[in-house]
Amino acid sequence: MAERLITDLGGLPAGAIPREEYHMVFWEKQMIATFNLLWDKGIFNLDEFRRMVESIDAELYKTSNFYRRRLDGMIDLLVEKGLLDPAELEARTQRILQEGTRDHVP
Amino acid sequence: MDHEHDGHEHHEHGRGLPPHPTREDDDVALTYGEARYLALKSLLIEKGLVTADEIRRRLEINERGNPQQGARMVARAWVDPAFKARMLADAKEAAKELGLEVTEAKLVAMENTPACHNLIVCTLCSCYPRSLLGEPPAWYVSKAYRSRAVREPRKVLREFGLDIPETVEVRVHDSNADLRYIVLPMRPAGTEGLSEEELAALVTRDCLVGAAVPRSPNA
Repeated sequence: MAERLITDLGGLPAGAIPREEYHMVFWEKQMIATFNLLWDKGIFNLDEFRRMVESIDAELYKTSNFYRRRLDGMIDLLVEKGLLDPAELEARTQRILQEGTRDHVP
Repeated sequence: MDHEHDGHEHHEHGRGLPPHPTREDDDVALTYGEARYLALKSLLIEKGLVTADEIRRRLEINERGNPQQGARMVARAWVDPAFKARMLADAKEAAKELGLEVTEAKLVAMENTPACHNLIVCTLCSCYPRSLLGEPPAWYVSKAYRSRAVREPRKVLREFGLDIPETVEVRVHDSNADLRYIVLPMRPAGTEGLSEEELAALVTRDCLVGAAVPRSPNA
């Protein structure tokens, strides 16, 4: 039998289901909107995205939440398509973290 | 790629932050994830792939989705058998009659009956009819629910406060990227005198996934 995909959780043993509500924070809403927008523009499609979700790094999958995985999957696809330079993205991410402010980001 | 920066921000659920109408206050520290998104957004705008206005407009569209829209469909189905038949035949088309736009490829309504209770899950990801119902509940997205719902649905439902008798079949539907589900719950007894609007108010978000059932206001 083929090895189970990291995303393929159905039927596996698991503990308590968290019942607290999760309220998306603003960047998560914006990120989902950005994802939908790129989709609407035909920059990527369902099958490409699904492949990206399923091929995500196993360690990241275990330790990340849904919104972070969506962000990283979208970035991986854009890099793969040559639309984004990962070094440029990382440099800008670090700059924003160092500045520690949301200002001056459109 | 460096994923080391998120520290404890990686939990599947609950940071206890209230929904914010505009953006995080500046005294909420940037996480690596948020900074990475902000960097991505600014690069996409610089490269001309998207504009800030386009993101705002798309966000407004996304914000239309909420459980009340699903509740309106359920209440209409309860009072109008012809609508119910159309909803069960094609829920996406039926939604249009109420002015609701479902952007997912396909939406299927599963009807609860005295003999069968339906529960929705997405074991592989977190597929959900977001354009109609908004973001899914945190528990729906959780790995524990995705794992257990297909293996021990009655136990999961009991933990949610819903005891389904052994004489009632429980059917679990696994959503996927192309196909999303909504549960059409049973109309509770003792609601004969209620208006469509009052009926809709009985249908909570969790009822639309099969994790709860509508209760009569007098029960």
